[in-house]
Amino acid sequence: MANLAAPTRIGSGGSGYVISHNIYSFNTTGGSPLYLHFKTNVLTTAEKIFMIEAEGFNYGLGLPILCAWGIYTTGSGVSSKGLHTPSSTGLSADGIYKSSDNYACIRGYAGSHYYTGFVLHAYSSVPFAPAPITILAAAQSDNSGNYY
Amino acid sequence: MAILQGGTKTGNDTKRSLYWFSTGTGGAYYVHLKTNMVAGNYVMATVEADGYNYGASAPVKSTWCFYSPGWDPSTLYSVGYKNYYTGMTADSVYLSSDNYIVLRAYTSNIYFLGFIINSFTSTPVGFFDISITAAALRSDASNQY
Repeated sequence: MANLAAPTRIGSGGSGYVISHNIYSFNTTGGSPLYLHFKTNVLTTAEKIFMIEAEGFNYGLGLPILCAWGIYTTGSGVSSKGLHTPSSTGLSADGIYKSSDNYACIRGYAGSHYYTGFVLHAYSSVPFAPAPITILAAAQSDNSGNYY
Repeated sequence: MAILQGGTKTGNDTKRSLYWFSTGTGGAYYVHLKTNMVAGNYVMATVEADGYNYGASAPVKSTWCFYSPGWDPSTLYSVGYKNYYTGMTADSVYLSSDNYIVLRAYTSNIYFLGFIINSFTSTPVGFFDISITAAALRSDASNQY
């Protein structure tokens, strides 16, 4: 078995990679707060297109997790290019926003995070691929407003 | 291009292509996948099948999730399934007669069915090096192992 340290980056695309598996691992033991915020290293001051995907398990809800955020940073802001959450999974791709210091952020939601765990992947097989995507910070909040 | 075989562990929580399953004949069957996870070992996991069912003309992406706590090893907790496409349906997790966790899925046609198995153990409980120790097809819903 090949043992690769996270993240595993595959293929070049633009200034980054086509696929970056396991860019971040997140888990909780408490059931709340219900909103999760992840601040990426992608600045909204340049045009970039990418997708973040979450895969894992929400024990509290008894559901696997698979959801995705499609993101376009326009140069002046950030635009959602689709939030995808299949029905009956343990985390919803809830929103996308620009932080106060101009980074693209994603927000997820679930009715409980009691023993939730998932990893994040990044995809950017487009001309406007950003440099290797990382997660700068993560937080939980009680409401759907911007955290960063 | 890197060619990785026999399972690829990335980070401390994900293992990809840990098993490869394929068939060449048709018919409606249940697929049973016996794991190396013994009951009560505190594994909290999502296991995923990704592939293609030629006979059903549909992709396969199915997941099973479960928790097997040491304080109640005879019971699987928080069992869930999700089937994103119609090529195969994850429909059961059960304990074998020798107390290993077994995954079951159903498909109406196994004619050239093929998939790989990935695992995610990113919960606070921690990583477990999941493997598939046996696989079988069965025409009824009874436990195979």
